Amino acid sequence: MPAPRDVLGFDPGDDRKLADWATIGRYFERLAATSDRVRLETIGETTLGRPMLVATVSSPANLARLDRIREVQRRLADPRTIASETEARALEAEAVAVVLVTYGIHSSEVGATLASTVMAHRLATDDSAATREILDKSVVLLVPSLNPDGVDIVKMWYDASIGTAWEGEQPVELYHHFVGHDNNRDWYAFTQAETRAVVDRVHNVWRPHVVNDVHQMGATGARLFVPPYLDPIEPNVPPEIVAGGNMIGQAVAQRLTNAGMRGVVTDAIFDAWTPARAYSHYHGGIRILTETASARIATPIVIAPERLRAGRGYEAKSASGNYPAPWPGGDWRLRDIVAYMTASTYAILLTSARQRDTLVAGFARVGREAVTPRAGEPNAFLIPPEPVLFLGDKGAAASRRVRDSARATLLDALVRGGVEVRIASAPFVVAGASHPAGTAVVNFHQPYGAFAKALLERQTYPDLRQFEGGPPIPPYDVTAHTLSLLSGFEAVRVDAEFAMPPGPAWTLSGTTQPSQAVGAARVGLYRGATAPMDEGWTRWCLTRFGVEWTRFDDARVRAGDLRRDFDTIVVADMSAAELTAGRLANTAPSALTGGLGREGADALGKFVDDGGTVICLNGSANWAIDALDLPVRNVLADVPQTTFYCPGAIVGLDVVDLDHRIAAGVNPRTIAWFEDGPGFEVISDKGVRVVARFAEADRLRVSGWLLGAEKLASRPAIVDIERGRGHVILFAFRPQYRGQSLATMPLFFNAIGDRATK
Amino acid sequence: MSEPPDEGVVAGAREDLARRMLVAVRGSGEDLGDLVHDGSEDVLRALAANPGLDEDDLLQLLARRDLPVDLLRQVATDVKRSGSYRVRLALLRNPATPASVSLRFVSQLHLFDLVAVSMIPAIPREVKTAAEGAVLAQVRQVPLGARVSLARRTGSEAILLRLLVDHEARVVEAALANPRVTEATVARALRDPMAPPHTVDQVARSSRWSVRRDIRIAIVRNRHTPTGRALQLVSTMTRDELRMLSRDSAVPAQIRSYIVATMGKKS
Repeated sequence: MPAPRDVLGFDPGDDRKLADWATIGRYFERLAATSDRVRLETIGETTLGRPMLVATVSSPANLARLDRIREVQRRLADPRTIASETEARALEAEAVAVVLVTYGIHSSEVGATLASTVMAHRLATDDSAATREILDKSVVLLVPSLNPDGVDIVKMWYDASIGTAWEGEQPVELYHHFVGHDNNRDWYAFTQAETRAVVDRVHNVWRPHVVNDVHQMGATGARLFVPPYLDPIEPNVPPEIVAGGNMIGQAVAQRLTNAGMRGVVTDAIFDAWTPARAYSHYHGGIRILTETASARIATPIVIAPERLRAGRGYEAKSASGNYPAPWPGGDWRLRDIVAYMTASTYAILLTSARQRDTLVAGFARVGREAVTPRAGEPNAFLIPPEPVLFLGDKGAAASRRVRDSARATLLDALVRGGVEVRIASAPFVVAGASHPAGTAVVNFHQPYGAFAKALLERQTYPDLRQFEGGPPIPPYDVTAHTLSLLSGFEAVRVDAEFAMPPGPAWTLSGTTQPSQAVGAARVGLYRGATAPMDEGWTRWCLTRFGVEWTRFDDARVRAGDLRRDFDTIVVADMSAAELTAGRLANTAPSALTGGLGREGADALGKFVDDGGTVICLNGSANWAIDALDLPVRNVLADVPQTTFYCPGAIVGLDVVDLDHRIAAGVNPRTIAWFEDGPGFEVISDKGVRVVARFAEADRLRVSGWLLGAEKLASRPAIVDIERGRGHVILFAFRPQYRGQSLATMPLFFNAIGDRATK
Repeated sequence: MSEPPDEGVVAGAREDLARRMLVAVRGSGEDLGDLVHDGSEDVLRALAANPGLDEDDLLQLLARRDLPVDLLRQVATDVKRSGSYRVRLALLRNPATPASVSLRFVSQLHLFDLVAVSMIPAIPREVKTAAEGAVLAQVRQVPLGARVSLARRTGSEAILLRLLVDHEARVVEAALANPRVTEATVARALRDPMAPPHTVDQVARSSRWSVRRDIRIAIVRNRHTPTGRALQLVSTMTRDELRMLSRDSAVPAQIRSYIVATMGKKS
């Protein structure tokens, strides 16, 4: 039976040693070929065409009946398929614990994929009673990497860095080709190939009881996080899932602490607000996030005790109820990371096996509750056949593509998430309101109705403050996920009972394929020295909706004469400091450090003066205001968070200049994704057109958390400013947010325009 | 000096030719099938014109590479005969069929027949080009599996070039494994501004292609190449290669700066 070293050529955890994806794949192939406990399957392809793998590990007896195990899972998840209580009990007795372990979605967290080989080898070779118990009572699914492309991107970068001044620095590019770290924000919109492969071929096939998502976190605090999560918990997550996560997390913490592994923290840092990271929470599965402290990729570090920092919910230097054995500081290396990861995953597997009865009972109960109507719950959600936030067939070609695909994109997301959607074949009336044929009907009382509800309703995030009237407690991520609104649809919640209209089920339309390129203006996309994710999302949106683009870097900007190559330049969401200073010295080869600086700003200014258009999204607008000397200011620049705060929410947007080409085909009353954006004030009207404004205060917050609405209300949200012979267009929000905000993408594509309009 | 042919033999041969002609003109069924391999062009013309010749025998006839052009033209203009897809295909596959005839049928062929036609060495160049053009016109619409098969089978550079920049990685993978694909074609694909990132990545990972000079240069030039990969390739390049890349505006500007810095260290 091959040990990882036999194929990798080193022990996982050795300093400065990483494996590429082909080698990881070869290890799993050899293990599967020699072990009767391991099977290997290819579940799809990555964005760049690498195979995605899942290893199924269990006892030979279980492996011989995998079809039956999956069938039991399917039926327990959907009690409508179970005829009687007796049959339900029999299925529960027959079920094994199904545990999915996903490694390495964030590829610079390099310990994870290496740890997958260690875990696979241990499960394949260990004959201890504990491992036997895991294998007999469980099916373990190991996904060695959720982002195989990134395994190689990071290895190539890291290998080039060894022995240099920038050894161990983060790559200068995104480790997912398009979306970088945000690949773990895609678990409800399913925009990326990797997400779709894992949802289609693993989650929806196996319906795991437990999902261990293996990550790394910062280096200067706790050594390992396991649940319980911090509040808030998203209200559609079933209580059985929350309680199950608490139970397993505490068991892991206890086991590792008993083993002398210090620095395990629970109930800290991470909340459970969003389905964007937690597909399983809405599909009967407990997500156990494990986060291990990082080194400098594979280079060891030393953390002196005085450098230990407090984290959200705990103090790193002192013991507390949720951090009983503080880590004292010292050496920290990849071997430690692999050890903590392996120990925590093994503890999860053992706990899951030993708690099989409890997990299966909870899983079955989640299914039963989902299909059982309760007072106060919705009966259904209705999605109209036409998006209300678009108007007519106007705008740039890419804008029309967005509009044409919006419905299928939304309904595909629901169906991919296991939601049953029917399309009414005739008009129908509910509670006195008539709905046309083509309306999508989502019955709430179905196994994954809660997933649909989370995406179709508006979120109300709790007003969490550090103390009464004090600064807000920041959420771990954003606070809204109303995908229907982002897609341009207002879903209608129906609480009254009504006869579901007849009609066919919606099936996946496959609208996620890249579109054929159309003749847009010559678009330059500024790359950014710090590998900003929003640049990646912008690139994805341009590609997805068929706008040709050319990416260029700081050196190209400084070389000048940008007008020769481009009509329009897009600067995605970046802070002014990121744009100006860029990447710091000694964090990459010197040719790749630095930012736009004054020279770059001047070059972009000249590009505009020569008739080009610069489009700045969100934070980059702050840079443009100063760098391009625009007659606009950001009134939110120095506003404290106690006065105004919006860490990511859906807000109301009024398009006010309907004659402007940017406004073509967009409903004058629409929405926008606001996240730490600027609030504009126009200092001089000359040459300035305000295309859109944020809604008035009482209509501003649509979904998510926003404090101090009056500070942003009615402020300009899109301004078109003449400069020389060109234009600068500033967006105070992210019109292409994570590839989801189809409602505002036409504003962005209209701003770019078609070649003919330039 | 050879003996003059015996008069009796000549007479017999004439008699035999006359008999075969008679069969070719008036015969039917198996008698006609026997004449498919006849050595006389006149017999073959008569045979081809005989409405009693069944389609299978006609196809056997059209498979011959020594048919007179007028016979092929005659079959092509016979509406009843050329109404059959198999007959049209056989005409196109025959290198002796005049281009003016074949070109009329090209647009009517199925995808993989077009591919097969485009790969026949002796086919007139304009027919081959038209067949490739028809494949290229269809290729976006054909299903993934067919594109993968096409990528494995085609020998056309134009088609391979298109498939090497297909938006599905599996198609690119198959095209890269095609034994007929050349280094020049792969390098051209990498220079295509519409080449998707997975094409660059797969070429860079391929042990068959990634070691070749022109391709390594094309990888560094490509906008999708991960920076780490570009840095590694640059570190292995000769001074001449670096000098060339440092002057190449297609190379991302920062990588060019890095190349210049590397050249400074190597000097």
